[in-house]
Amino acid sequence: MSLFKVAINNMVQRRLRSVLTLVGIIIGIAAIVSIITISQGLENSIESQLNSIGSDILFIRAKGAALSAGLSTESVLNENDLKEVERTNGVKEVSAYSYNSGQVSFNGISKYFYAAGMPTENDRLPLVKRATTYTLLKGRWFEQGDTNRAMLNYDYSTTKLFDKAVEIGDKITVEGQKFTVIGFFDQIGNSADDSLVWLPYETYRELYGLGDSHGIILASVTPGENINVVSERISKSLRKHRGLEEGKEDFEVETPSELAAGFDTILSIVNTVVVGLASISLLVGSVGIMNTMFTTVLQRTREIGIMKALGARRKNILTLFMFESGTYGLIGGIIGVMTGLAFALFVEAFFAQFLGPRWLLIEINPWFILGALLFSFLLGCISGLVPAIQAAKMDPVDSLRYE
Amino acid sequence: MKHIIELKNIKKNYLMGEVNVTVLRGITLNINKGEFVVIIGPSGSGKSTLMNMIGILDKPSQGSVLLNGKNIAHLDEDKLAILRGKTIGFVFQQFNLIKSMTALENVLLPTLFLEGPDRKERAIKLLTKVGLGDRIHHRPTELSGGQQQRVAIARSLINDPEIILADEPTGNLDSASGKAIMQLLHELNQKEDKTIVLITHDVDLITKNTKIVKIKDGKLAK
Repeated sequence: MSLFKVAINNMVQRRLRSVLTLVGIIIGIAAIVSIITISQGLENSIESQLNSIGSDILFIRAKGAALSAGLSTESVLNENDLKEVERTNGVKEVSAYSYNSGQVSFNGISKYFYAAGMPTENDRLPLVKRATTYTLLKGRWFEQGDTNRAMLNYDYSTTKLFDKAVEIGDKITVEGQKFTVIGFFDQIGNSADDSLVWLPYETYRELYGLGDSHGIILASVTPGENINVVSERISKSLRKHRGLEEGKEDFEVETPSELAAGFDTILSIVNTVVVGLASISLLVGSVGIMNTMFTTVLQRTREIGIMKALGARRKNILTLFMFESGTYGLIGGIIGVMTGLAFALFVEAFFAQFLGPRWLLIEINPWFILGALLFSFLLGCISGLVPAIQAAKMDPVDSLRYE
Repeated sequence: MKHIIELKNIKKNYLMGEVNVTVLRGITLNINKGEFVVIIGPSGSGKSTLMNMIGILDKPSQGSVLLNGKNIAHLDEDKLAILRGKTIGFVFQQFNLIKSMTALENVLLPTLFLEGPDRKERAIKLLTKVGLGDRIHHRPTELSGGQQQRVAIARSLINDPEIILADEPTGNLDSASGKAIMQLLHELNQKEDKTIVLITHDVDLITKNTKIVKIKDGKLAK
């Protein structure tokens, strides 16, 4: 093997070494940036959905039942309970709705989705409108007196559920009864919601034989009242009305912020786990930079000697090498941040494609990016501290003699 | 005439493994401002160690070194570095340029360690003076040995030092390049009144106008 070839091999190895040095930092920073950006995006999404619900609405439902579509509501609460809630001090309006799985037929094909009942009365419909946050895509909302009419969620307006898209005026069969389609809602973002069929409440209850029971009772709070206080009052009066002891309720009263709190807890657990794992990667990256810097200092011993002979102080040499290792960190940070953001945006696009547009609202926070870059630079500096001190301490005479 | 460098009976020992080796055995030497001094001696005579003493890269085990009348014994490493950077310009046998830097960057290197105005124009002027005005952006590997040593001389002058300390500056050069470098050093001595201390084993470098100091076995020889 020629000397030339040895030199080439060394260079290639060194380039590989630089890349290997950065891998740990890149992975660590990318993981932290992507998970924090994504979880911030989920929080944004939850927040925006809860904001559109309105922070003055309370949800009262059978204990343990799921709030969103996916499970049928249980028939624990009834019209008397609703009246009791309406009488509670601090409650402005009340309303209710229910849903249940049902056979939906169209164009000769039958499938199982969820059917829901929506009150059509003028004093009950507005609150449901606010609580569902649905926006009308086309057609019209229910009106008082509607009976054999149906409103459909987004997926019926596409060919996703049936071979043919449903049009306004078409007939659709729910549990054997025919309904005329009068309107469509815009996309929600999850398939359970987007495949709901809405029927006038009375018709729905007759169809399912539900009597005067309610799946979910909604109550809005009088402006100026504390929502948590009103929530407590409702719990108390419903307990009394239903003859239940405290702690043994068969119902739950939830505020929008309580709904959000559950999500936040899960998010913070996921965040902690990922940041923990990423820290291990950062530690490995830091040790990698330290190792590379020790090698670099050794290889450049003679240069250190030259610089010292030319008047370099310990401080100058220390700064030089710490800056170099900081640059390693910064480069790793830049690549890591770009990778992390790219991944977050990819996940956002993936969510939008398969779940709907409102699930993840990625916001790129420039201060967070700046912080991540500063952090990686400092991590590089700290990793290079010991090798840089070693370089600064070198004896000028010995290092000038170093071959 | 005022002594710019005074060595007073300096001795230097090194511990090599467990053996104490004495390299300098008591050297007293005065160098006057504006002198051209050639320190000559065979290899192993201790002349490199003597150069380290004159260049305040190292301190003697015994005896004292005075630079412009000031004893350096009490200066710490950083103060020595500052004094060295301002007062002494080094020219080495191996040129000792930084390979990753251009000629201009190499010349400017000593200015990075001292506070002061931007010296870029001065660096270009110096490179032009040593005949490399058209090579300022070349890297050491793109220059011949003689050219590299010219860059090193330009570098030694950037902070306008009083003393140029040249350790075998022609040792790695062919005779024509070597002669040109010697010519350059003599010019600096005569036209700019730089004190030149040249360390060599090559008796051919002794010319008129030079003060000759012979060293052998760690002592000055007559």
